[in-house]
Amino acid sequence: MDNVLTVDSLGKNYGDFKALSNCSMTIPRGSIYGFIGKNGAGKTTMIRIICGLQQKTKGNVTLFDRKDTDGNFNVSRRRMGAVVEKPSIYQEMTAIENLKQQFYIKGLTSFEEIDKLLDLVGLQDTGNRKVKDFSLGMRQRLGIAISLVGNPDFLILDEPTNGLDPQGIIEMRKLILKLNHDYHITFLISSHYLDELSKIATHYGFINQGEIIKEISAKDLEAHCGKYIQIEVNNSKALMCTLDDMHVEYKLLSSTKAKIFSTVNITQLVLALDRANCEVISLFEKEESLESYFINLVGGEKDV
Amino acid sequence: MYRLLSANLYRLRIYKPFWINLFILVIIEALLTFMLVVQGEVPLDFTLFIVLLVIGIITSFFIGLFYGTEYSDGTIRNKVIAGHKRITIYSASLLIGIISISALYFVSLIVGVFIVLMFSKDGNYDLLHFLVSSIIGWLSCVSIASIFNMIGMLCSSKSKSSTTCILVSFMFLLIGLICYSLSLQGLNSSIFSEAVQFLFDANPFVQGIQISTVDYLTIYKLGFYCLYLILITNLVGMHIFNKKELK
Repeated sequence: MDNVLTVDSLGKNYGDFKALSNCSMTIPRGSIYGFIGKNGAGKTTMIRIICGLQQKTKGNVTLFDRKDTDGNFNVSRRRMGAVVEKPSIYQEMTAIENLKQQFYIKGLTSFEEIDKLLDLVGLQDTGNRKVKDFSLGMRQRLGIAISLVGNPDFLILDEPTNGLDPQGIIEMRKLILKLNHDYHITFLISSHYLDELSKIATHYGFINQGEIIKEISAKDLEAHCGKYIQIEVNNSKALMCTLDDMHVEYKLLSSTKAKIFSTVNITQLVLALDRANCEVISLFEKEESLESYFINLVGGEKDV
Repeated sequence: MYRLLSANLYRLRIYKPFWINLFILVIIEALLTFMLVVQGEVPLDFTLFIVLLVIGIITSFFIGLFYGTEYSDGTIRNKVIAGHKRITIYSASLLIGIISISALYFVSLIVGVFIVLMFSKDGNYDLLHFLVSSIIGWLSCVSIASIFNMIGMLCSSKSKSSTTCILVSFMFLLIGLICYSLSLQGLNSSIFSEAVQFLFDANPFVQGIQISTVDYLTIYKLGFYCLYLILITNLVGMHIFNKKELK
């Protein structure tokens, strides 16, 4: 599978402070890459370097097979769009004027696509209203419309659901999925709303203290964090023998607790344990969420 | 560059403060010129004097806001993300500053010249001197635009950009008037006298005071000072902007 973006050993220092340290990331074409990290982990710094808004200290960025050290790297940049931190829109202009401005910047002489873009993001009825009178959700959507000018193949969204109400979050999710499925746009999305991200992302990258600590596909994550049964008994030896006899995949957590990953008939399990003189103290089904996976990765329950 | 210039031109076209400034400058030029014409004969070059004395101050009010909006609204980032190089962004910004100040300059000048020609009885004008002075006056305006562009591209907010542009224009005007006053009084020290004269000649905000009355050699000297200022401000501005973090 070819990659849209490859980041190799990226570093950014502010004096002695290392904002990014040896960050490496790979975003496959057609994916929705969820970029997750705590506040101050380095997500926005990395995104800003990829977009050219900040200079790196070391490392390489390869976008559409062009390295950032190539003289014509800006040709690759023309195939991407981004909404970094807050939407970049002129407050004193209308939605149409803002889009026209972006059309000029991209060198597009025909404005036929403007109505289509406004329809796509649900801003077709804004008329002569200036952006300063828009709600936050409307500004976010206009920001995405602007980033879509020129039919980019790759979009970077830095916390696109920040400040949106639940309805706005749902609409944003639907829009991202539509753009990915219908227009085959690859996404890099950084977000604090892990639950929301888990509904759309196909790949994940976890960053902590300026380092990418893990990259994993959604498929592998699901396999790792799927549903399981947690059982507590008074005799772990008997439990292990019983589970081995039943050819069940499990993991011992402690001398009394275990996780059972395979599908198992509970009645048969309990009866088998009873025959082995093993009491079942508790038994319940659990599913590891993206949030708990992330917390386990970075440690502690500090704010995400 | 052409794409960015088109974008900037579109924005300038719908930017109300620019048109308000143009209207104000035209009114000032027309009123002052008319008042002088009705009192007696006015040399054609005098229209330059009026325009060049006020254009720096008038322009500072709208251009600082125009440039600063790009940072406050974050829209300068769209240009970088779209794949334009920093030097292209800076140059396009400079060009739009030159275009806007040139529009203000030439429109006001034409209005002033029209009034002089319409209402003045004596038609004896040194047209060549006026033409050369107009061109050098335009270079003064371009150097003013370069200064404002450097300020606008390096200040990271609308309020900082507009305040700095206004303060700089008043500061240059004040320094220029002080130098003019000192040069009229006559100074004992030749070094000090030369320094004052240099500060007066190289100051684009007050070149209008002398441009209409001096000889051709001095006019060309003023032109060279403008060119040096344009070169220095743009080299410094581009260098710093190239490394600036766009937050």
